[in-house]
Amino acid sequence: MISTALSDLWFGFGIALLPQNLLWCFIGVLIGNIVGVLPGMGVLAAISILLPLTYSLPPVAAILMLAGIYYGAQYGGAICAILLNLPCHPPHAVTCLDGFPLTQQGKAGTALGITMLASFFGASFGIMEMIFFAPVLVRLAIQFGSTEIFSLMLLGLLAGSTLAKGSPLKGVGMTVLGLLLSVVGTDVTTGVPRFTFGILQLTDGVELVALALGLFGIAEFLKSVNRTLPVATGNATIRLKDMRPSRSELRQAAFPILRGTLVGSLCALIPGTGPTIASFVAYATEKKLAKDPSRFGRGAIEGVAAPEASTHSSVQGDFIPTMSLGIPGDSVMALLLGALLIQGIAPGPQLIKEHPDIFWGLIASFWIGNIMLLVLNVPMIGIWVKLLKIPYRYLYPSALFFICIGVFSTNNDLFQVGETLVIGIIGYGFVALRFEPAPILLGFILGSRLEENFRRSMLISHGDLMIFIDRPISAGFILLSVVLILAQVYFRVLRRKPPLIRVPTDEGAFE
Amino acid sequence: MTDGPSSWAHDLAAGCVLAGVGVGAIVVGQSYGIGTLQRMEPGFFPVALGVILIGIGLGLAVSALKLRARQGHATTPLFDVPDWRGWLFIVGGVLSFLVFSTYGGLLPGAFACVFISAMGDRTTTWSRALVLAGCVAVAGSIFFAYVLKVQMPLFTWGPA
Repeated sequence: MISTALSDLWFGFGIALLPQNLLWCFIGVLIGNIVGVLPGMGVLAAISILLPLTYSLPPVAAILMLAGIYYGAQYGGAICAILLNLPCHPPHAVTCLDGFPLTQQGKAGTALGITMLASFFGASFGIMEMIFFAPVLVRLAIQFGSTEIFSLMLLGLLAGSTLAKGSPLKGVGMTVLGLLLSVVGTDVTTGVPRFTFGILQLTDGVELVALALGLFGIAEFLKSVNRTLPVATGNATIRLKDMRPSRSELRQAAFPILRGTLVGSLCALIPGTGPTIASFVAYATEKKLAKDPSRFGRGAIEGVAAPEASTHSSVQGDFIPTMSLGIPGDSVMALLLGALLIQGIAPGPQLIKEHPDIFWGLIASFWIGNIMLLVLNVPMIGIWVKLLKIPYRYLYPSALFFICIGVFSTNNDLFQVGETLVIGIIGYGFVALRFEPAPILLGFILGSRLEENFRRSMLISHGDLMIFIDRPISAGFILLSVVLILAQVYFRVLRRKPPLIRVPTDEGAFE
Repeated sequence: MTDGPSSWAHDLAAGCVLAGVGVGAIVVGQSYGIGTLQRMEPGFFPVALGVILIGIGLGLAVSALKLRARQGHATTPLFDVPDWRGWLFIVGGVLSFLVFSTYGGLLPGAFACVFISAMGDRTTTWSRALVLAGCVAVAGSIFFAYVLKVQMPLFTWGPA
């Protein structure tokens, strides 16, 4: 098994090292890193703005680049958290707790150096996990019929919407709204146009790019305009030689990095628990294991190393269910899956076999991308620090133009621009009612497949809902879903205990 | 502010909105025919989603009312006041892109979009917004027109 994995990986490196793929991977991680550093720009917005640009690219290059934005942003987000105490990206909110005190003590360089090491180690482990785990999952999933797929999707949707931020009930509400949005357009089985209200452009359904840019672009601008404070970059002068941690600091960080990585890779395997949860769990674990927990929050190096390692290993691990089962764990993965769909590639267990270049090329590019990120971040740290100073008043108007032209270019139709605006305004309404809009995308991406598999299951069983419980694998997924809901009810309603660590209520402008 | 925790008023309104969407989904959806579980018609799925949405909406509303009973009525402030200036100019920016790109082409559309939306920021000035709009419009239009070959002329007169 190991030898096949290695030869597949070798093949993947052959794909990823092709000059054009190398270039797109570099562009992806570069943009990701920039977006991660810029306060007030989010991964989801960045990926959706760049999505239209990938239409003309070959599928491999498109997915390499879009994935690069995601993990590249994690590197940038850490810089933002450590130097400015700004949780620009939710997974790095905990890194602020000890990263910023280190900056105040003049040890920002060390913190960043350790972060880079931890990130690279965590990411490498996550990639290994994907190499060995994804084919196993595929071997299982290839036998799934429509019944199993429906139950699995149900589990994925429930986990994705209830384990993320905010109220679980609202999360499920947004997911169902996303499912409903996926209904708009011509029904695949009967050809009947649904919810189009006589608008011709809606017969193809709601445009994915318009939905994503409306929710994560326009709605967020409407929310954040005149509300973002100017950034003070007082202690932010870092030189390269400051970044080398001392030997004792390395020894201090080694085990936290290892533990953080393990936490992250475990979290990646549970659908719905993305990097944010992983980083919080890793931090809490370190605090519990520490001989002197009071050091945490005052600049403990472990408090930076462990969450960063876990974030990165879980970010890479996130790709496992997406690429092997076609079930995205969160909205970023949903967007990447959408990019594959636009390229005409059907996600699911057959993906690895039918498009080995995409799967193994992507994995190889993860490593190449992570090395690029190390090279980008370590010597060029000064440039990233300068980027932090770009004010929001220049950012959002430029981004708005990119949104308009990007949405237009998906179909060369200005109707889509109007659609984006309407979705953005409605999306703001939901944000104002304290909804998290991200699960909408999850539901939207999975909606049509969910409906199709449900229909097919019902045809097979002659309308008997018990089929989902009669089949053992499907019953397992349903059982897990029920356990998930009961656990949520138990923790949220019956106990009302304060969370272990206070999650900052404002987790950056985007996402 | 659109940050801050969710109050009972938010949850109550959120529940009502969801339930309302659910009702809408059922009313429109049933017109496509519901069918039976075995032979589903196009309306089945949306109507089922509508029912679920109503359930979730009612659940939210009930929990909001419970929360109100516990917190009392005096939770300030109930709803956010949007930043009207930002709103007006951002929405105006997108609309102006629609108008100017149809009747003027990519470059005027880009300029209008960036300039108008930039004016939504209260700390900006005319000159700053003009410079920003000029830079983004020129660089962006050239990039999109020549590098990415977007199907929109740089300049045009009247509707295309």
